[in-house]
Amino acid sequence: MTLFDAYIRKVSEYVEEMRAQGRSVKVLSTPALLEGLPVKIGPGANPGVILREDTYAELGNPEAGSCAFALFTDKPGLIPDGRITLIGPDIKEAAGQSLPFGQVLMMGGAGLDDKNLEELQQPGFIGDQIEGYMVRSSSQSVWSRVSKDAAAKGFDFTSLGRALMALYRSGNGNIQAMEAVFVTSGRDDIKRLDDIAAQVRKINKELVRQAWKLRGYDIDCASDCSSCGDKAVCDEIKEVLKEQQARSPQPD
Amino acid sequence: MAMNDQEILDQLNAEANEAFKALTIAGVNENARKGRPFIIASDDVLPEISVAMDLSISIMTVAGAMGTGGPGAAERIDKATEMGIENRLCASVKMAAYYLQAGILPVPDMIITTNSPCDAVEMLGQMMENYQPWAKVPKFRLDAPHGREAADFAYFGSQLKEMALAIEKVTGKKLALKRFTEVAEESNKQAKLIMDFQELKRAVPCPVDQDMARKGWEMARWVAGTDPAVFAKATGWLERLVEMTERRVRQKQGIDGVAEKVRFLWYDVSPSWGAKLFPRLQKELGAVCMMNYYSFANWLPIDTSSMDALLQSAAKKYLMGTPMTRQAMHSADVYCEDIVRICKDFKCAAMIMPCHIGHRDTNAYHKLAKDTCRANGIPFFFIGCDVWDERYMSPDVVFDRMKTFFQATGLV
Repeated sequence: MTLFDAYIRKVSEYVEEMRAQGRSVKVLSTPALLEGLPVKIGPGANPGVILREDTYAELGNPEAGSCAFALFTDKPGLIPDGRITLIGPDIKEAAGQSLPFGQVLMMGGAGLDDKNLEELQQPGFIGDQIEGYMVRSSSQSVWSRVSKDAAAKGFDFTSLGRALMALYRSGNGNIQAMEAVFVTSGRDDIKRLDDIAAQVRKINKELVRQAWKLRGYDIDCASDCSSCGDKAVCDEIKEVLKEQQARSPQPD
Repeated sequence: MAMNDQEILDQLNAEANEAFKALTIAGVNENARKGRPFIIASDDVLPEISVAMDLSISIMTVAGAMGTGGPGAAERIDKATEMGIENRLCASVKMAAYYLQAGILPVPDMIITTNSPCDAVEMLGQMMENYQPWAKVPKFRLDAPHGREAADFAYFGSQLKEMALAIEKVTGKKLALKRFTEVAEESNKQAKLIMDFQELKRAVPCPVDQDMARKGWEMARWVAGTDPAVFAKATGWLERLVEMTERRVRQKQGIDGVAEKVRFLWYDVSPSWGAKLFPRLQKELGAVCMMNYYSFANWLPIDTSSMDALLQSAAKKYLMGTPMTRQAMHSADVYCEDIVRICKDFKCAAMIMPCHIGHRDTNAYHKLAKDTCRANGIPFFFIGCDVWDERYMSPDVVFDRMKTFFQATGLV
């Protein structure tokens, strides 16, 4: 599985580009994933809803800028295990703010292949598993709230990265190495990250299409009409529609 | 004296029900009388544009759907069949076709048709285009793509631009950047409030009937499209709803009189006979519906940085954030991903797929949905009813079947 390897490199280049542009780039230290983690993790760890007035900071409101994706490779050596990189301010510096938010999770494991796509490519599927952290039900991005209680306990991007790593690793035993990159420095930086995400989405779309095909379903048109077996039918439908349109009465 | 939550809910419902009159066949005729340029569309065409242009756009399918819950509905649906409309067509579209063919609609200044969200609406649009008494009415056809890539949004954004130009040519009203930006900003505020309400429903027990999200959405989207004056009022309505729901979440209050035992996803539109089903499920079984197509929002903001950005992001909002368009126009993976996401986020223990007789798309998806639910450990149940015509399967029968399902799976 080497499909995403080039994009893992692109994310590294992106981090360097941000550093070169003078952004605050911190490589956060990661002790053992769960030891000393200031919040609980696991099913039901965040049982309630984080209300507006209980929110310390909001991350990834689509108006502020939001982008999230995951990459994986069967070469664990490509991923510096446990590394968490933060570009921009940390949670404690964002009291009452709505921060733009980019999240890239990169996983390596000899046993990872495209069958893992669905479970690994759903960054919002964290649900209620991190205390004081609520991901809203919104697709293709992560839009979340951090509670005041969690912030008071010291929840920051190191905690978030460790929690995500622990949850992903517990859900998939094939993950041998995992790295997280968080971006909060600005809307433009998120947009730049989204350029990489757009390419990743295209690969994902094709992988999803192939995965459904293996289950016996064709969920989408083949992108190339010239090689499609249904082209004749499609062309005929288009002709009928054109004729109908031509027959429709037109205004004077 | 401050109102209690029930009084606030009663007032919100009363305001919504009053506003929804604008969507009925009587409302369509009333909208035509107001003197503002009056347009009839086959389906939703985004209120932001009509509000910004100070127009009234009535939606045929919505008028049809509203009619299925009104007096004489069965006779009218049958009359449509007698007129030659295919018997298994969605009854909301059959009702709309009846309104058209019976000649009881006012002649509009313009017709807008669209291929979204489904084949039935596409057919209704063709009927409108070919309806002889409207032969000289100017027409515009919106072509919604089935994809969800940047190119699709750009294409549909250009369609919206052409639509605005066509409206301008007919009515003389312009889509001015300043006004469009103001309306989009208000629309973003509303969408965020609907999203806030959606998130609050995650609380256990569910604080307020999920159908309030549909009502808020329909106020902001469809009623506002018929009357620009309603647009800003919808924001206030949503603010009151969110404020009250937040209070209930803080107090850990569920829906009054309901001991919540199981939460489920109703994966289709809300039926016109829903009032005979959902309250009974809540009260007798503690089974609470958490979501349907029209109470599930993917909040996509409109980018106000330029006219092109406005149009393209509005296009994205239309294609990916419009209930039923999202589910019916895109590939099966979006449809199936949403099932899993909703069940997980909103703690739904079961997925109920009504398999509305008129929704050929969902009937085609049914094996895929089944496989998805199996793979994710979600108990599922397919019904096979008509959400707009209770004669096909009565609410009592639907209740009994759902009760048996919940009991057999040990959920109640």
